[in-house]
Amino acid sequence: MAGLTLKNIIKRYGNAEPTLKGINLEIRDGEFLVLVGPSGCGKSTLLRSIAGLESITSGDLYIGDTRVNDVHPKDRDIAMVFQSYALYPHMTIRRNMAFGLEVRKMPKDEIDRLVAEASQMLGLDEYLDKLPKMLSGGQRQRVAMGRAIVRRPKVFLFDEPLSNLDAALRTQMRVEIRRLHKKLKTTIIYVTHDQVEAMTLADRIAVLSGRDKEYGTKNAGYLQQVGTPLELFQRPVNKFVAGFIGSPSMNFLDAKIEVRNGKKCVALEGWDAIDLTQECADAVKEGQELCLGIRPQDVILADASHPANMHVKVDVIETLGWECHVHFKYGANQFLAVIESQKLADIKEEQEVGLYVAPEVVHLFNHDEHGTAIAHGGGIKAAKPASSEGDPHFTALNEVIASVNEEVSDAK
Amino acid sequence: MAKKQEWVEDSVGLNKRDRIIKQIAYNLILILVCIAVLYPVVWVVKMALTPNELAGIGGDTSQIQFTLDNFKHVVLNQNQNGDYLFFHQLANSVIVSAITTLIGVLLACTAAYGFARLNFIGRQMGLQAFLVTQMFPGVVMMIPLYIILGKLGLTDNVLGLVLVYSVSALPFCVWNLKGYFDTIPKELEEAAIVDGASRAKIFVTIVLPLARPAIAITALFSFMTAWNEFILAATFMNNEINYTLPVALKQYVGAQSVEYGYFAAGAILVSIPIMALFFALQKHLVGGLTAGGVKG
Repeated sequence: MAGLTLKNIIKRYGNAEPTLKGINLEIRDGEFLVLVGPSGCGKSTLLRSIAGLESITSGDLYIGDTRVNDVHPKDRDIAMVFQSYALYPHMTIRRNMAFGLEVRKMPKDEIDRLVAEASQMLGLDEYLDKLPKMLSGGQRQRVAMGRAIVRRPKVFLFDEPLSNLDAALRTQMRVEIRRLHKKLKTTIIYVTHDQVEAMTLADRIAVLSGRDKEYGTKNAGYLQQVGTPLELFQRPVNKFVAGFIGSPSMNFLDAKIEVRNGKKCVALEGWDAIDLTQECADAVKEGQELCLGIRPQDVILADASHPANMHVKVDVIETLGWECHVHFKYGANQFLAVIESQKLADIKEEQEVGLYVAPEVVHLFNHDEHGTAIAHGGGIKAAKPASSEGDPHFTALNEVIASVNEEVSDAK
Repeated sequence: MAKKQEWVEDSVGLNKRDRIIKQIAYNLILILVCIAVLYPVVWVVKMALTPNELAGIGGDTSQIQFTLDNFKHVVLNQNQNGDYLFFHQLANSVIVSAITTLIGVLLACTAAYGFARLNFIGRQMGLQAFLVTQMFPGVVMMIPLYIILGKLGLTDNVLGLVLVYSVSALPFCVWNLKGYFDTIPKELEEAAIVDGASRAKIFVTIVLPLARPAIAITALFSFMTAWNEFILAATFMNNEINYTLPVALKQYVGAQSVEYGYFAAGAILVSIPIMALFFALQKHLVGGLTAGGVKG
């Protein structure tokens, strides 16, 4: 096992604009780090650079204390699980798993023992003498993981391993990967574009930025924020991270700071205004124009104890069962909220309704190119202590943690 | 499947009788095509089994006789020194074709892999240069080749032919194999690199087994090129003991007369090894070898 240090990693193909523009990252020994970002942000390139499948244009890459920029992939002591599984189609599952050990000239009985151990761990015993084409997608991905495990590498690299699986299998494999990490305690770097996967699996998440409509690739290829899933969710450093982490995405509205009744607040359409917490109020000044961020889950329908501070018109209601995605028209903007279905019983499309947004759930961002965060209201827990249970992020996270704990204790 | 077909036909308004007529028409066409293809073969077999005097286009067709004398004559034909020419010529053909195939496949595999996977200066140019050589028929090269072989002292020598055939078959083999290597997913090799395998190990244990169908085709092509080639062999070989089989066959077609019986018997004998090789390699000509390797 080993940690990794990335110092100012730059990757450029030919004379094109660099794909990675100076990545600095410290990955701790035994940590599960998820690299996440939109398509084309360079996350796979970064992973392949760590594996040694791509050369690094400049910067230093350390595995443990060793600088490995010029070390061949086979000598880096890493194992990689590919998105496409990349199993050797003409070899049996047993040989697929043993190949890396055979290449390293390990004694045969030792190879047999390690393969048996890994196949048992992953439930592949009965498939050992079959060819990859006889297995289902999930089983093949498990073989790919088995091939990585038998080597006992210092670092595991996963390149979007679940993106080829269907939703149900993805959830199951997610749990298996998490369980594997608990058991092996090996450093894992995991690339995905699926932020739910990132939230549920990671000890820490590193968010890479991709190209955007306004600035093209200008801001792509930079590491935006590294932190625990909740840190990223509650205190995103800029609009990009705020919009990328969390599903559905955060709502952004143009707003202005005004002082009403002697208190600073965010003024919106008409007379709508949201009060600010002390942290936010201290960070802004009267008349400042900024961007207000509100997560769809943080919006509640106004009632007697929660007076309306936004007046919107219902556009479309998408029913998902337990909850609904409600699209509102708000002036010229669209605004999305996730609301419990039972609370929407009397509400119809095109109806005008009042919403309540607590000061604690407000995120304020600058209007600059990077959309840097100015201040955060204080966190989702402070705002909605009672209903956080229903939040899909926490539900998914808690489900995974519970099932992993359960299965690990079963295994013991 | 059958049901589906029936439905499709029904849907375009064909009744049972029309369908039967259609089937008969298809089968008649197929039978005619088979006859057109097989008739020359049957004719050659018949000629080979007919006494030489009666065989041939102007032969007496009123009497039917079967004999193996033509084969006996071709196989046991001797020169003035008492050498059995057929066996020498067969050996020449086998040696030339086998070595050409071996060299062709070995060089083509390694070259094609390089062209398919490695980035080097002149890669594109090299590939195009290979294509350019294919634009000229072998006959155009005959005089320069004759001079080169003369300088190397390789005229009237099977090694000279091996050299010429290998070189002329190589461009096609390289292109053919490169095309196939391109279809083998790169991730398989990357997985092997991470597993710790060297390029050579990857080539031998991953790439070559997966490229079996393409290698079989390449081998067959090389072998057939060398086995069937006539013009260069006839030009470079002077002594009849050094002839390859196609050149030897030509002896039966003289300026004054054509020995149809011997020619047909010889033609059948020359075809047998090619057919045998084809059947031997047939089992490697299968698709889907990379199935299950990567998702795609």
